[in-house]
Amino acid sequence: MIWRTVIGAIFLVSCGAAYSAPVAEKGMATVGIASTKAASADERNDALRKAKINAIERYLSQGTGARMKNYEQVRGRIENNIDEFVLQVSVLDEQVDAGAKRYSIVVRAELNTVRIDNLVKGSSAVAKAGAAKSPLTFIFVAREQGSVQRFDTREFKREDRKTATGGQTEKALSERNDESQSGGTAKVAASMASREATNTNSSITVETGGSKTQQADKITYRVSQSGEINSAMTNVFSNTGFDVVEAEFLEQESKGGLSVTAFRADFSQGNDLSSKTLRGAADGARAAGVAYIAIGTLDVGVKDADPVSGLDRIYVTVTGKVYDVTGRFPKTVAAVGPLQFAGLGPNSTVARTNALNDAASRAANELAEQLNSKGVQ
Amino acid sequence: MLRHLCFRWGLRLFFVGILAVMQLPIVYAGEAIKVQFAGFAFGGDHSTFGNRFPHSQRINQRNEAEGGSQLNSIALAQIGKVSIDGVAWVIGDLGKLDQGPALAMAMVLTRETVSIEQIGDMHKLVVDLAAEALFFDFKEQQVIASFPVVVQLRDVSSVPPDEATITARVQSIFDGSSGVSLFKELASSMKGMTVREKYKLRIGVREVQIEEPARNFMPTNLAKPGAAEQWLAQSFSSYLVANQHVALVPYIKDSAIGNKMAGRFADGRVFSLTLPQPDYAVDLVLRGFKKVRYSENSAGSSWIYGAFSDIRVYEQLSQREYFKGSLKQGATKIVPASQKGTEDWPAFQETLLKLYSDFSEQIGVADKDWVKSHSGDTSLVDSLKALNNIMEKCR
Repeated sequence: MIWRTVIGAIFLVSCGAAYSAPVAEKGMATVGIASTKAASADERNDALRKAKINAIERYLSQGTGARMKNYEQVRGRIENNIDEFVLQVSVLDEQVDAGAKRYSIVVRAELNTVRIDNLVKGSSAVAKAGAAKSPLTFIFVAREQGSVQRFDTREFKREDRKTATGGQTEKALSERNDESQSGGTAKVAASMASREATNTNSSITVETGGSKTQQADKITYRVSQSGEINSAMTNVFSNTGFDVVEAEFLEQESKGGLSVTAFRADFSQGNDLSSKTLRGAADGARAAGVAYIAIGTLDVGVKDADPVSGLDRIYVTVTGKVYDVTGRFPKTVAAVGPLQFAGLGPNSTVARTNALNDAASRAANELAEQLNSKGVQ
Repeated sequence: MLRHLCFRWGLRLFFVGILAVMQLPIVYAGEAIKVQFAGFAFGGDHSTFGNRFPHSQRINQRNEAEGGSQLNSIALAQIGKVSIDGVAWVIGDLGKLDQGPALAMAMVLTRETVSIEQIGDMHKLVVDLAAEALFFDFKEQQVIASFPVVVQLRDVSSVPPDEATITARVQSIFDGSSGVSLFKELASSMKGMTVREKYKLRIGVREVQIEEPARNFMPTNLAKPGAAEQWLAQSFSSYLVANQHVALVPYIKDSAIGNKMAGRFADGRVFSLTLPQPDYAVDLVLRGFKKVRYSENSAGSSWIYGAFSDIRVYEQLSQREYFKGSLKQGATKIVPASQKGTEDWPAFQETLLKLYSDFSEQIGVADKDWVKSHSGDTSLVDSLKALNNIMEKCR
């Protein structure tokens, strides 16, 4: 009994440490009033309640569309018990529009986001499914560029030359004789002139052209399925209500269809999976009784320095899809990305881990919310 | 048996007691709030520190070979002397923030500007330092409130001050060896204020616009992107805090992106704190400066310097305005005939700061003559009175 009390104390203390901060959000509402001077107590309370609801909706609208869709299912419960979800309210502004007989209020509400999120998540089909929910598995691989083969530009040049020459020569000759007599002396003057002009022209026309062909880099990736991705994704999908089976445990039961190694090999060569790998995974998952497969990549970028903190910074780009493999042909039921996340750390290992963890959690959250909004269970 | 039961129940109550104590917040009614001093920090981009804080960086690096931070050593020696009502400093190992109380305070340096003006045969050195006393919840990594501190040191010498002299003057502001002290100013500006672990409502500068006619008069150190806006917002905020004792959300340019305030402690640790949205916002527009010769004789000339600024206080969601006005301030400067060249900027800056200082004092007072001479729009008298209600909510 004593030890149970001790363990309880430790548990409660750790709960206290893990307490998440309430989120403050503004809310606004306007209601019609009977008087032109002031709102009655009931009218004010009505406006206050609506402003609190508005604050919750503003908070939820910052998430995905899927989140809002889930909220619609529990809207009534939240509206009827609004004070359970709002911890504290401060009135920022109140105004009476006498002409329009309207009363407006603006509040800052501290929200119990844990309770709101739990209720919204709990409204999803998968959360309500109980034991009937379908298992889900995921194969997300982290990859870094292992080698990049760059090709020189292939250049083709062509030159066409055309030469044209032409011209004319003009010749002229003139002769003149003059005779005159003066005082018994005869004078003879003669003159002769000739002129020759030659005009020649030539032109060269050069036409050049050609083409340059640049072949895309051939990139091969170093692929790894890191532990942090598994933990982050399992955590998110499990908390959302899905039955998560890690892919490695399925290989045996899928009768060789689902092969994590095949996925890694395909992703090491590029972004596309071979039809054989995809088909094998779908058939294998179906054989093992798993309804949904999430597949994706987390591409780790090159390290640089964060200009604000000076710490090492690494970007991770995540893309992923969830396939429903229950039918004859696999169908895409959710897709995410490409989304980028940066991780910071005193060294590149820490920065990489932080970025992968963040990217995996956020991608899994986004996929889970899309699945919830589609009623997947 | 009875003794055994008493022992078991006593032990159980003991653990429940421990639990109750450990779950309690650190507020002791009527007693001082424990605040862990987190150290000295530089605000903004790490890559710009060398340009923005050249002298402070030089001072800080002196101790680096010994693995320490000179500014942290100075700060640790000074902070104990800063007496703020209701605050009990916890001064210890700066690296063990997580083991102290949740509320912490960092002194974040945000501006260091130096100007030298020659007056006759003398050289006037003006050093401006601006910092934020940033109170934050260490466990939640969230800013609770910020109190800007702006200090100015003026020194005159017969020879132009060299780099070593300027650095020495900057250090004297940190260690308090000159009459001007950053930490004394902190204590002075926070006199009469109550530091709380949580503030109900907060105000903060959100938008700052500096029009071209004003920018043309600004010194080069304010020409960097965002520097002038940061300076204007912080100058306004410092008077609002000092005269109205309100809790403030610090202004960060482009804070809408991520809503984070990042910085680096003097000893290399980095921080990234979440900024709460201010409940009431202030928009500032600096419209321009004007300089007019008032009189002149053989002894020198007299000039009137004018500063023009728009101030808008409002609630963002409803866009309800509590104050919106165009204000102006004039100040006279006498320039002796012996003075070689005049630097206009110090006079413009002083005039503008006087406007902001007077404006923050006028909230609640709303003197008709002041409004008439500084705006001409007498309807602002009622706005200034009403603005006091907003300030009251943020105290």
